[in-house]
Amino acid sequence: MNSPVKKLVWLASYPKSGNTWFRALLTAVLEEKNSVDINNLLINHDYADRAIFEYFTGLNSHELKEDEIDELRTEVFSYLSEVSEDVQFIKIHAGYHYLKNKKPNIPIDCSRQVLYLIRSPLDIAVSFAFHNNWSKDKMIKYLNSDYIMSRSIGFATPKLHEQLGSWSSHVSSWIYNKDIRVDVVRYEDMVRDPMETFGKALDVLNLKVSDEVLRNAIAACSFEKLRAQETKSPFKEKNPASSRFFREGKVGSWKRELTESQSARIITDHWEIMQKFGYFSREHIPKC
Amino acid sequence: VYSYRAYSLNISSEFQFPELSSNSSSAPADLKIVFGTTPRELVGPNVLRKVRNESCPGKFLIHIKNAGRVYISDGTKITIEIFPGGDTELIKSFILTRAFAAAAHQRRWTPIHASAIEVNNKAVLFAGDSGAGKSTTVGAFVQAGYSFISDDISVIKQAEKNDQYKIYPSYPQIRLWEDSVALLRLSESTEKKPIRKKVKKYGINPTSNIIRTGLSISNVYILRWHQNDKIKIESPSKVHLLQELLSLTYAKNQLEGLGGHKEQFETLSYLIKECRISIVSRPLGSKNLGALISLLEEDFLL
Repeated sequence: MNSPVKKLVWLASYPKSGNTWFRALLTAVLEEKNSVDINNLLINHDYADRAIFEYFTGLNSHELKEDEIDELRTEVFSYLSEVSEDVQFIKIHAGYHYLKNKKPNIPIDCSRQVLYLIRSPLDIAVSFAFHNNWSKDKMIKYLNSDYIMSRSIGFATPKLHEQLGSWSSHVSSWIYNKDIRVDVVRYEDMVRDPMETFGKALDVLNLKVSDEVLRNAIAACSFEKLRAQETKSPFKEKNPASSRFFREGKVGSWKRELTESQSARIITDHWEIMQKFGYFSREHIPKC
Repeated sequence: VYSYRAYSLNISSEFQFPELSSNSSSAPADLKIVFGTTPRELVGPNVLRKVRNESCPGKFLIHIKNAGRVYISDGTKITIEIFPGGDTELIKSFILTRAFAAAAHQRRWTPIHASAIEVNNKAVLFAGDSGAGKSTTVGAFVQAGYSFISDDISVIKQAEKNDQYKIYPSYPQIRLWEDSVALLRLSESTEKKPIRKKVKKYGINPTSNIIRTGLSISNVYILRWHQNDKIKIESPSKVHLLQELLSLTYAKNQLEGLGGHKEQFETLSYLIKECRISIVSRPLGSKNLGALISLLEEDFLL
């Protein structure tokens, strides 16, 4: 039997790590446009999309249990690969893990690669707390828990559930997996030098674009422009509990927003992975 | 064999459905539900295969893991093959909604993702995607005393050629999540039956009068969530109206293989011409339900 052609590229990240920004940039590059509509991104496949799940499976997702959805969802994306002519980029916030049926939660057979977008958990805590309209203490607790996002327990949720795990286990689950190639892009590098960082990411994705197209895409997707667009027309992926999706986009806002004990808790919980990705050096490890 | 009346059909069924209204009519069954062997797969050049389901004109087959296979043919027969130890609740839930929708598509009727109440002898529809709040809205109107027509799915068709299109009820049950049951305080007045074990969604019998016949349609409200904090009732632009309604066809995944786009287009064009269609956008959450009901009532009583 012939192996299926590998067409799926996963844009994996813990929430609030620059996935939307990256997809906006990718859209601007692929469409070669000088502006993007945040509510109509070309790169819009989502692992948590309830509508695509129901369309392909012919079932009412709200009447299925989480493990049933998990198993069928890998088949949905296999099918998407099968019926697509070109590479399909899919946003995923779930960690990489094995399901009850002992198979991975993404269809490895038709997956080409993973681009993992990483951001410091210190800044994620601030941004994600704002996104959920949670206290920072609650968010910090969730960053270190077996967090399952968008669970439909006793009420309808627009999206399907995604098993995130803790921030550290999320990162580890992708970067240490033995099934599929993963390249990592740091959010902080995207902010510091988008030409260099996004350019490298496009190379990894085997997308050849000119410097001019790249420069235009970066200009079209500046934080200020995306934020201004959200002011005019609310972003559909915004959590209704918060006032906006594009909050600040800066690196290091945790220094202003978190108390010493809050940042110390995050560092204590996640120092190994943080250190690996240069989010602080060994001397900053709290003595506890 | 049980006799039921649902989706404007006389049904004979070997499978028991307490959710359906029993039928005392001696008329021959329009649709039979039987236990039997289903095809393993559909064969032919027009077969469209998706994820564990496949279809071609007149035929729809689905394989529901850990439950069974269901085969719907020619709008007249539903064959159920339950796997040993299969989850019959899941099969039942599928038949009550999507299998009947397939039969409706096969008959060239239009199943629409909408709940409905009766107002002045006409139907007012609340349409929308899964999770848009159709059942909660209709539940609130039923609590307020309005006659119940249908929840979640309704069928639109002509009784005879050249007749006006009417809405026909599916079956008399409202399917609500636990939070909506609590919000509407329905558990105090009526029994709630879980749709499946470990799924906190319940079937509730409407407490108001139940309409069992076809009614012409006066209003269609398309329910949406939005990111603003105000409730808005607006007329959609004419350009997007057909697209809006097309997206509300129930189980539209089945249409590609079964066909029937022409009849669907005719039905929806009739709705556009004869009914008042509005988009209702509101902030996510239940705290505005009272305000929503008041605004809608004011609008459809105009």
